[in-house]
Amino acid sequence: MISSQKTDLDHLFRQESGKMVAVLTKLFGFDQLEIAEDIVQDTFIQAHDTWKLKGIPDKPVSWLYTVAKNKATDLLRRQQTKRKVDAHLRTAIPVEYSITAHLEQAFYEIKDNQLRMLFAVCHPAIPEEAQIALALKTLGGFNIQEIARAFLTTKEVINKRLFRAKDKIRREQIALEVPEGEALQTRVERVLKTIYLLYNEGYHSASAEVVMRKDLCLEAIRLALLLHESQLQQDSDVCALLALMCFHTSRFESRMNELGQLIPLGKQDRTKWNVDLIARGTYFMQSMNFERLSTAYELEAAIAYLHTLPDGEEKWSAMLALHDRLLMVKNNTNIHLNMALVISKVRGPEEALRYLQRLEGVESNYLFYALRGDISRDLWPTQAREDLQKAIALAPLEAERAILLTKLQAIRPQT
Amino acid sequence: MQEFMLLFRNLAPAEAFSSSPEEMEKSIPLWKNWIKGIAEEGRFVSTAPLEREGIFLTKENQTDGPYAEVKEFVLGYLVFKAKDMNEALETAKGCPMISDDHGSVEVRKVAPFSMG
Repeated sequence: MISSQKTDLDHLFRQESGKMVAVLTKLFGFDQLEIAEDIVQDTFIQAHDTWKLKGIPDKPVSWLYTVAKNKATDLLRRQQTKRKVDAHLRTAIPVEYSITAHLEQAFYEIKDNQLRMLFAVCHPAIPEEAQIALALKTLGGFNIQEIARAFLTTKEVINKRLFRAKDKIRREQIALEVPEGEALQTRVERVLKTIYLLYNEGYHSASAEVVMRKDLCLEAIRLALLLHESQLQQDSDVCALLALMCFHTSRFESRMNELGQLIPLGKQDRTKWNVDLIARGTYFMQSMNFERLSTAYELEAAIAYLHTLPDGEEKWSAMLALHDRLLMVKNNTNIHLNMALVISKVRGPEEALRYLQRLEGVESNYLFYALRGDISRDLWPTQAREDLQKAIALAPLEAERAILLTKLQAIRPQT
Repeated sequence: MQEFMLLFRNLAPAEAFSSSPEEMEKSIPLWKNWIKGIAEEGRFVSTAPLEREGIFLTKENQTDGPYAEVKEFVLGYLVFKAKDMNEALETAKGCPMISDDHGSVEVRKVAPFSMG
């Protein structure tokens, strides 16, 4: 098979296998996840073998669905006839009729099924790291190898996580359904968190593979859109998360140069920012009341929005207020570091350094040294040089070390 | 869209519909294609074939199936959506039950339920 065909197939697999697994799992039961996965895998193996000889058919997606449906029908029929000695004679209507009815209906409701799958995967009994792996496998169609690469770990580790998750599903008898009432609200929060983590995994992952990382980000957006379109509930957080992801993704192409080196926001070529995604992000912001942003998703979306605007005093003082409020609902080192950067813009480097001085637990955080080096560059070059050297020693990514080195070399020589 | 129900019946004594395995095999694609079309248009609601065993009750009587003496009985049902009776009828005409010498299909509109 020529390599572009292989890429096509990989792409198709990602797009369709999650949907197919979700549909088939609904038919076979959430505790029978393997059966659904086997059918989908067999389908793709068959596609690979057949298309290699005959070329890719005109409608590859319907080809795949037809094959998967046939495989599912065969299996269901075998299960049914095992249960009843002669199902035909007892009902006078062929069992294939009922099977087809439910199979076709399930494929017709493909979005609903994906949604049910998303909610089930985010059941609180399943550990968080397993949720992301499970979501990527069952909804995104990523294979174990790819998930392992995304998490910078081995196939064995991912397999173990998935095994534990599936074991939980069986033992806790987790149903493939969208919860109702109060449980829905709690579960939606969990779903949002999983999508958010999945997105961050793609955006910030130490894995250097750009294509893979972008796929992770796009999968997170797709899942959030699924949730948004379901109109399950008042969804200001869903919109905020979507806006946030659209704004970040709009800069995906511009944040790296040809050598794979990361370019800081302020130095990026704004003309490379994806205007469509910014427009979409702004659209999702519309439902938000800027005076009354309260959740972390809303505040982070607003911050990401401000980043799309040209620099100016007003922008940075608005940033300061947003970070202040964000720190009240969410407290982590990254936000504190961003806050320090904002302070340096609004109140100057000395104030920012005092802020950094108060932070705890940053001894081995390369971002901390990189930022402190940046901020002290003009006033205290010796300190800046030391900080940048520490940052280079601690940075996990070659792309990041390269950019830090450029900064180090740009510090004016000691006089 | 309104909901309609099809009742699949056979008109002869119970033994008559027991088609041969070959006949049954031949009818499979007909049944599959018919219901596939309905589902693909998003008009499928629910369906079930009924097993032959059952009990026939009246005020005076209780008869256990499979009802040799009953002239016709229900083999299954389908609930689906259609614009009107005409469309429902067109759908029903495609049911393989009709091409069977002993089969019949009854088309009934489901009475809409609304509060107040």
